[in-house]
Amino acid sequence: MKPPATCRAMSCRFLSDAMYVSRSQTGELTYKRAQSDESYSYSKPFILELEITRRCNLRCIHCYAESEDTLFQNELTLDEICRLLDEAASLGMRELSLTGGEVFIRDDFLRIFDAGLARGFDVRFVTNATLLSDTIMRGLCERPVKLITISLDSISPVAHEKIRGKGSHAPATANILKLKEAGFNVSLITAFSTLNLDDFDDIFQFCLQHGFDWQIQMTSAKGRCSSRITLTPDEYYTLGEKTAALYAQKLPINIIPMDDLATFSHFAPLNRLSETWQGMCTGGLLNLFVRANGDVTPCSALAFPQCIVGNIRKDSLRDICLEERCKHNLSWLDSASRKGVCAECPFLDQCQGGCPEILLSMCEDPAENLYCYHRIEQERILKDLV
Amino acid sequence: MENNILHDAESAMKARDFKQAIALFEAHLSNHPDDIKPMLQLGICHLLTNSTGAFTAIYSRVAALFLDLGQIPSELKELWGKYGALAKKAGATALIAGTVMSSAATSGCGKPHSAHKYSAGVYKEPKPMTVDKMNTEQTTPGEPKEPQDSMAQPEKPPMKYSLHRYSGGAYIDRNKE
Repeated sequence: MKPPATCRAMSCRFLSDAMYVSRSQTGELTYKRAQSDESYSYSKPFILELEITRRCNLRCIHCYAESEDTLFQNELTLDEICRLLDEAASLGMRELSLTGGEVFIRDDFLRIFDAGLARGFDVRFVTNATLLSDTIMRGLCERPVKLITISLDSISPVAHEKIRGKGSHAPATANILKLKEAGFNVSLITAFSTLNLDDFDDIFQFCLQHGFDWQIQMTSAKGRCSSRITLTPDEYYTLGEKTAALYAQKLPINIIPMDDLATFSHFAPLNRLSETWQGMCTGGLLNLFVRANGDVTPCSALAFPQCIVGNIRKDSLRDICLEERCKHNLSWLDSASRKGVCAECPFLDQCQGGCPEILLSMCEDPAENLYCYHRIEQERILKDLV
Repeated sequence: MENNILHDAESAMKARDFKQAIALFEAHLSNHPDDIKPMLQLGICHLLTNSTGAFTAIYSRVAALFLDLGQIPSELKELWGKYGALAKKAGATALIAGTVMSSAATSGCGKPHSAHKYSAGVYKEPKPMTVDKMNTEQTTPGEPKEPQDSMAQPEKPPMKYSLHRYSGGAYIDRNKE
């Protein structure tokens, strides 16, 4: 049955995710929500990111979760998810982000969504948009959906399907437009590798034409992703330049560079990207990730074994947060532990070494960030001038 | 002795020991205040330690020296061009644009131009070229490409807020932020 022509997104108002960051005289950072003045800490993180399944109809070559269309054992049940949401709500958390795998592949996706709403969460989710059935579409139209973020790796079917598999492009693009047409807040996210870096301008034009906010990040070598397709530092610099050229402009859409692109540069407009860095890794503070098997890490970008701070089947979320386990887990990110160029960097106090996802997945030694504009500029200048 | 200081300064610079390199270049320049090559090298050390003010000051100082000389010594043209390209990228030339004539910079004129030639009114031909223009064609690796005209938009002011940045999507109210 086709959705009725009147199937439209509910008209809702949501608080912006914007945060004001302030640094005390002792260097301690405080994060306050711009529109409500509510502040966040490791004992009350901003957003609960919940991987409701690892199962996915696609088998993307860069998937951190190594998802595929198979039944994974030991995934959280609806009851377990409800208990988790109870705990998160009691800590004061009010933002829920559902992710996968592919979220629509779970038969009880809408029930999970409702469980979040019933506990006072604003709910958003990430999808590959290929499984948007009429039932799901109707269900979404009946609920307040804060944001739908959809992965799009290229406007070109060839490039997109090289990454996400045959038959993945047409339904994704059709459903992206369908959701937008229905009035949902839709943003696109692209992870750049050597397979789609050349498609940057085309994806931007697509976003601009249709009014999609665009999140930009770099594919990193973890999960199923091989280092054969990840960017070199020079290609990373190119991605940064392209992103910064857009970010620095006043555009009708938001360009949202992820933390991996927020390193420091001496030169405009690339130096604008460092203003998107929150002063330190905010994993565990502005977001907390619960995997489909109950493991907890500070961020979905930090789905590494060494970043697991507990499992909600054995530990209470309350304990994990109140004991500030994420803060302790990431304590190796302090300035004093940096090495090489990072240790001598004039931006070290503000940067602290950059995004730990990149340090752990793309750098030989996590104490030294190879994916850093300052470092690349320094190498180029010295090579060229000395 | 002097050569040793310069050699050591360059070695320190290559080894990325910029503090040491700056100290050695400054020691040399205290005895040879008009020695332009080490002055430019010192400026680059300042840039790489994020002392943009010192980097810019050296740019101005060298530009003034070239005006006094009336030409750029041939052995320094390439280095000066690259330095200028870095200054442009770093935004430093916005502070000092217009201080050097292209003819002085590129062709080695016999005598310095007087200052009034750079101002509007008296001399309209030849059109003066600013430092910005002088360095347009001189690029260094890593220089960002200018945005294409079709995509050029007014520059956005610095962001007053931050966001959580993870793969789950960030919601920004376009009307308020």
